[in-house]
Amino acid sequence: MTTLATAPEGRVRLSSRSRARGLGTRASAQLRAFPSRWSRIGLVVLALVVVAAPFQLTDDWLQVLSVCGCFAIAAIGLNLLSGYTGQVSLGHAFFLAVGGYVAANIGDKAGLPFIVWILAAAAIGAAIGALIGPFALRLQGNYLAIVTIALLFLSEYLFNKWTNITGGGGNLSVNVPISIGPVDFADLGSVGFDSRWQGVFWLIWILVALAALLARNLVRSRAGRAMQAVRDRDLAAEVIGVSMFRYKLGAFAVSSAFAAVGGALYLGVIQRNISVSSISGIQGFVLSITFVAIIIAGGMGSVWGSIVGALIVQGLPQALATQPDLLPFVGDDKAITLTSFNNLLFGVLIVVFLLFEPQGIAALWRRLKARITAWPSRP
Amino acid sequence: MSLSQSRTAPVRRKVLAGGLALALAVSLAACGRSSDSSGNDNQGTSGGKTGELAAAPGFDPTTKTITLGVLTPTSTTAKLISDPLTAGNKAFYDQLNASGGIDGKYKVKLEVKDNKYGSGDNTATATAYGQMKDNVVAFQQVLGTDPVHSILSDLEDDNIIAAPATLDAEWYQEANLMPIMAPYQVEVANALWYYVNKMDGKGKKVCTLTSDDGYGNAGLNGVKFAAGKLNVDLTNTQKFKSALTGGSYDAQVQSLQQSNCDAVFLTSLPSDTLGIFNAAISKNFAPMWIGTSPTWINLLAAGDVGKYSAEHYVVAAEGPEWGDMSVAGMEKMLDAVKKYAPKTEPNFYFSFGYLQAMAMSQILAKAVKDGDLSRDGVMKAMNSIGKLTFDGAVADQKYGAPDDREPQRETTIFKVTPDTVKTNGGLTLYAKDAMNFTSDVAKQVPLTN
Amino acid sequence: MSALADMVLNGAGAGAVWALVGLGFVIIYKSTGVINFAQGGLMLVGAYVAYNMHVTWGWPFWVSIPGAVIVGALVGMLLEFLVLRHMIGKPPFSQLMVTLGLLFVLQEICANIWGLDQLDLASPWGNDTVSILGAPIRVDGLWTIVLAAILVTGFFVFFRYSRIGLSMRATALDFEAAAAQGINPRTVYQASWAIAGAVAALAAVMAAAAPNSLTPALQLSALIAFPAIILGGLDSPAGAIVGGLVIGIGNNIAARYFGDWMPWLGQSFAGVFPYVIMIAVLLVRPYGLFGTKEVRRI
Repeated sequence: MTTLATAPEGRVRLSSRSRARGLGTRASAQLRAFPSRWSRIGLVVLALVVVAAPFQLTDDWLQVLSVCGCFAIAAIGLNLLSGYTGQVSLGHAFFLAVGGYVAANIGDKAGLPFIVWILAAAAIGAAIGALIGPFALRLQGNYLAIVTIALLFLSEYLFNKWTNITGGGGNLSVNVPISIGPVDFADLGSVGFDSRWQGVFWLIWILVALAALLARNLVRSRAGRAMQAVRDRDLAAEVIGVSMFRYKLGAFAVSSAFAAVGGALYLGVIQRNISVSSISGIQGFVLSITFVAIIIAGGMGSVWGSIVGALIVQGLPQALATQPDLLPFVGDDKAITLTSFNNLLFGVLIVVFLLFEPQGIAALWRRLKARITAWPSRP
Repeated sequence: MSLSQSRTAPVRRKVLAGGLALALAVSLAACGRSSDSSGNDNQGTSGGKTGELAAAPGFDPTTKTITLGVLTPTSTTAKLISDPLTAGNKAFYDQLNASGGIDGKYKVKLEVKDNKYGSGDNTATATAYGQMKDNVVAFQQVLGTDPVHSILSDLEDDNIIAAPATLDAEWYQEANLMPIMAPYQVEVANALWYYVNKMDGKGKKVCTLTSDDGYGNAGLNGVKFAAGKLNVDLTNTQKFKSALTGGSYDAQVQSLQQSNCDAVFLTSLPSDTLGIFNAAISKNFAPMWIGTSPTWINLLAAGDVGKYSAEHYVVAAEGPEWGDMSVAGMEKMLDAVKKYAPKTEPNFYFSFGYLQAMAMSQILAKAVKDGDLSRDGVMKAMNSIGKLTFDGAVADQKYGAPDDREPQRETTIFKVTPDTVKTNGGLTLYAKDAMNFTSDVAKQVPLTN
Repeated sequence: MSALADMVLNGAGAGAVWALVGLGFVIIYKSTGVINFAQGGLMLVGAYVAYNMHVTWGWPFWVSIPGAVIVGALVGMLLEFLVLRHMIGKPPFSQLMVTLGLLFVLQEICANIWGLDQLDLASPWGNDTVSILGAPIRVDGLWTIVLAAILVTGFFVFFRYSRIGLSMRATALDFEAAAAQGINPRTVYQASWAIAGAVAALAAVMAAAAPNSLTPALQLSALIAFPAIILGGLDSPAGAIVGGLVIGIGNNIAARYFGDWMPWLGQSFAGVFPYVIMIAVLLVRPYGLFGTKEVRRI
């Protein structure tokens, strides 16, 4: 029950329960990044999990989760582009590659510190993304998707050609510093870490948190509303003063920056190797599809959904690999190999989500939440 | 809302929250990280107690089993190579285990994971490596030049050794790799020498057709080096992208044809060799194709391609013909085939895998003798082994740390004989002097990319 | 002269395969507005079924092809019935993604049943060539050109004059109006997917006609056919043919001569040349040479 109690200043004060549910009657309450007490509690729990994980999990799990983290950052970027601004892109892998090569050249070749190369990755990613933006103005939906595919094949040629940047032979080893000031994440012996993967896990998930916060703030801002306007009715938006050009371009730039950061971390810190054929051409296409699958599964238009999506799409196959007994028919001598099973699962996942839950896990969660909070009445 | 409901709602939410927190805590605690799971284990005792080896990652003293890792393509067409290779690894260890195992006491088990080589995706190796590294003593096989590159830093960090199932010269410089046999660069150098001096190739037009990746470049650079030393001009060098990743070679074959090449050095995967030969057949282009060892697969001896290969294709590999009983260890290997891999067809990938396992077992035996199967122990064993022997199949190899090891510098030239697929896999010695010969130019090949 | 004939005619043969692949895309796009990425998967099904019939069961080649075509059509209809039907009305990008998901599923099913090895379809043409203008021209390429020509004429007649063809065009133009006229959209979709599956099977059989060339990598031709389709126009069968031939021949010429004419671009540029053309077309004339100009209602 909502009780209105007037405070001495004459402002309306809502009961704690209503505030906790996030059902404030003030617009500013809706706009807060973490509107309800529950979301704040959830945040604390998540932070604790991230801090505790390297002490509890083995290296292989940490590696998997770190990869999920990198993919989450890139997926958040794609979500901003596709989920919030409605621009289709099947060439997201290209920007990951860009980030990777920036890391290799600025972090490794030039040996500059972590902050420099990660910011450079974001900046260069954004710049290149802004170059692609104008295509989005000329082309709609399907055609835009096809042009982004062309980008992948073009990039394969370019990467093979520019051996100054990409090293010869289509393969480049990368060894970048990952220390912020005095803290070297690769070697946190002082906290009791004995493996590189533990520090890397923290670094990546701190960045995931930053990326999510940035995206969340962007979405809640005026720019975010403009992006959604472009998604829903771009011509009408133009008419009321929302510049299609600026926001489409901006969306590409921002999303590419995120992707470049994710790529710099994935290729430079985790893989420590950039192979041209893995991030462009056909495999680049597969990678780009993976990102789209992540935002579909997580929910287009939901930042934390991208994180969950990355954990599912990227993490589930690895998790299955560590539990061979769960699926007795999967194995090298059995009915279906693990790789084949993962590919099959991937395809089935996309189809099932699009058929039954096109708004992704975020929508599922919203429905679940609504059902719980409104119990016993059905929402 | 009734009074009772307004009281139960917050309680229920608290219960929910508590349950969630508990579940999280339990799940985290369940995936416990033990102190020796990270790999920097310095527990190896140095031969103190007799027969009592301390536990180490990949070594279980209770079951007396040593686990070795295999990172090989099982989900791409490259399994044409990897299946027989892994079978060779397995057959060797099955045979060894039947007589007790390493030092008669320790059985060896192989754990295989897919590295997707051939699909273009070179990220799978590092991922699979991460899943396996805490459970293996060393890596018996990592297949593919690019996949090996992708885990070099990881191997260094974790101090694990790996035997690459690819013959690139630069592996000899890597402290964490255990390469054996003559690299591609030596294969093609010897092959060029043989072509010029023994196959009537003096003054003829020599060209190359290599795949556009690390493996292809190894072959190309070897040919370029040898051509420089032997004063051979390379008329036309073409590169192609594997058809497995959407490439084609029609234009390249046509270009070579128009240059009237007499000999073409080929570096490709077997699936591409098939496509290239088909293209050449349809164009009536018939130079002498000289391929590095992985260009070959038994399929090339069948049908029209077989007839073409018999006249226009030789393979530069190493070692004896399959079934050559004059080699000391051949009988033992054939016995292993009969007992443990009866369905295997004669295939030099199998023998390579068998020999590779033979080499690794010698290093493990030394580590066991020195009483230390930890990562440091195995590394020490490899660096101090001095020599690796191969039962006469290929020359003994001086071995140790990168500064102390030397690859074999010998090559065997095989010709294709479609009629003998069942007995020797379709590959017969080109001539009596074509087995395990070494040319001067091959001796000079630098051990770099 | 013979070199030119070689490049043009063999290039046309290769391009005709892409044209056939493109026809499958065009059929579905023309009637449903969906870009069907699963076309590559349908190709795999068609080729492997043909292999099964011809090599495993020993049926004659001329029986196996129609057999594969029928199975391809059935699989297309099955996909439509199980999945695509429920995606009608959803945003086009969702439909595109669903077909991508189906591609993975089809690809894995084929890989698990028939394996990853290089199979030989044992086509009656093998590596045979015929000498035209002094150049060896692949016989299977010539047959592909003939087949493509027949098909595109057939499609032209079909879309112009037949009832179903007319229904397809009507449904594509305006779904609701067509339904109001009594056209059952379900039938239209079923028919278009069936035809796409059939054409995919044909394209795949011709693509895998060379000895030992049947592998799961066959589906990649679907991706490589995109430049051809864009050039010709996403909804024009004639455009698919023209686009395919242009790209096929252009590809050959580029691969042969780029290395010589523009060494700074390098030989590998030839592989990416079709995509450059595609980007150029998309920027200048996105509906291609023969496609219908899209009118956007605000």
